[in-house]
Amino acid sequence: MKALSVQNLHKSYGNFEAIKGISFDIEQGDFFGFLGPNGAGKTTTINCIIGLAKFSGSINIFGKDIIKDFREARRLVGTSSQEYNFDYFLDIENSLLYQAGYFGIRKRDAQPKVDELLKQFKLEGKSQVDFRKLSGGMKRRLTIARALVHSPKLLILDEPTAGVDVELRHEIHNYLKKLNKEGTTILLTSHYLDEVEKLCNTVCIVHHGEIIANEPTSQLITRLDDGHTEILTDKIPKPIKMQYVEFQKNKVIILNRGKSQLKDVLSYLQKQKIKVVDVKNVKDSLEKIFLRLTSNKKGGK
Amino acid sequence: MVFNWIGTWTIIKREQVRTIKIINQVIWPPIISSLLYILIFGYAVGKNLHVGQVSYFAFLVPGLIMMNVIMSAYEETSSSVFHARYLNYIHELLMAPLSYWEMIIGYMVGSIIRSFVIGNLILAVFLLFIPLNMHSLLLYLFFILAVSVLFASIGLIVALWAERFDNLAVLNTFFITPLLFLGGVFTSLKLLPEIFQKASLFNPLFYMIDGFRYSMIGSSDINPLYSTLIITFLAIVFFIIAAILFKKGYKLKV
Repeated sequence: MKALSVQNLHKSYGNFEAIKGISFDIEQGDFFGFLGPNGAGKTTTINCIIGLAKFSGSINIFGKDIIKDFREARRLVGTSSQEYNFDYFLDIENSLLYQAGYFGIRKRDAQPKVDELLKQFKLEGKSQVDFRKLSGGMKRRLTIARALVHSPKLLILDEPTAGVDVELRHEIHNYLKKLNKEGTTILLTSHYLDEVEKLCNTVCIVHHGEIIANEPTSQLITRLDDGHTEILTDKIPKPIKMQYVEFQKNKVIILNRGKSQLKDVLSYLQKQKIKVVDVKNVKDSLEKIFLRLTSNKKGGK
Repeated sequence: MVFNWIGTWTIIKREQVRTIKIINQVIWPPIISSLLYILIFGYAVGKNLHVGQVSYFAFLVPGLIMMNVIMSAYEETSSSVFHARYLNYIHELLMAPLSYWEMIIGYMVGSIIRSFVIGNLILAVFLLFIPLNMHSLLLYLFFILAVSVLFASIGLIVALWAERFDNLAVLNTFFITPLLFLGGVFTSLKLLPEIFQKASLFNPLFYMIDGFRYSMIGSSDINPLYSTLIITFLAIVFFIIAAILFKKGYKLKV
């Protein structure tokens, strides 16, 4: 079952084409990383999915068309937006209760869930407080709590950890992992690529309104890994010319593209009676791959 | 779910929470200003005046009530929806399983409640000072309801059109207030020069005040049937315009 299916999504602002016909699916239970530089079209895509933007193309949430079956579709999604868009006239507890109300949940039915979320996000002492008086971290937690108040099956998180400290980020990560394990499908956008690498099973990279990569995180890293193997030696070998191989004092570096030459390098060292002290595989991080992919495509086509 | 009743009710409830939170801005000022108008114009100036068969005091009360019903209905929707739009918390509604009808009805009913509360509070306060007639309770309720629907709809349209807070005041300053004062809140049309009498017939607010006055004192400058029809027509037209704009997501969906 597809939790989300986006087909041929186009979105323009005047003459500017922000989304150029992208298509992607998210399988139920997936933890999906949706990446891209600023202005790539991530938030625009999310706005189309959650009903905040007009678009052409089709979007289905658990098989429900978000235009034709908007009630069913919207009930299945919870969104934590980038900005703090809270009702100025409601306190924290009422922000959550009223949000549940808009989703058709009576106050008495929503109250246990609201209490649970306030406790989970350590906001129970702040229930009567105006949201403007909360700290940045608390506002962020409240934004996520609000997205969960109607127990959505698909959770969309637009930079949920932007501007929060390391400790809180870890807490949020653990909570999201738990939610995902319990069956909630998650779409996450973030500029912290270590976070995406750690949490997401699938990564989709959008750039200039187009998808430039969409595959399992491990596969993407393996496929585009431009890492290398480092061989530490006891003595400094005499450098020779070999493609993809560099000699740096007592370190020989073999780029992944030249991995097949590892055997030749080792026999060369053996001939010179140089012992190998250590062998290290240095992998590229998702961040490096992301930067390489997006800088290659700078300026679009 | 055919109609999201709980969602719609939540919007109505939220509008009342807002009203209570800004009670010093929206409830007390119309009551105090109405009392001052009555004190100055009805008591000090017009103590011995009569308009037709009724005292000037009794003539003034319906005009003041209608003036505040109009202002309240307009301010409630225009200010509430624009604020929500301006600070983007209207997204809470747009992301929820609420149809545009439900949103409009929620805001509209919220506005009607505020208008009824203010209109009747003013009436109750005046009743403390002087006995007042109620010629037709049905017409009295109809006029408050229809005028609230009309101005709540206009408020919704302006809330979507506006780009800045001061845009909301444009209609109030340049249209509603002058048309109210020229529409017979303080004077009978018959007391005005003939040219003003004729011009007033093009002032829609005149029909609201005149018709509403009829519901209380039983006399009016023109046949209340005309007022009833004109207001019903305007309320339907503006409600439809507001509904179309909401349905299209005008300035709500980018």
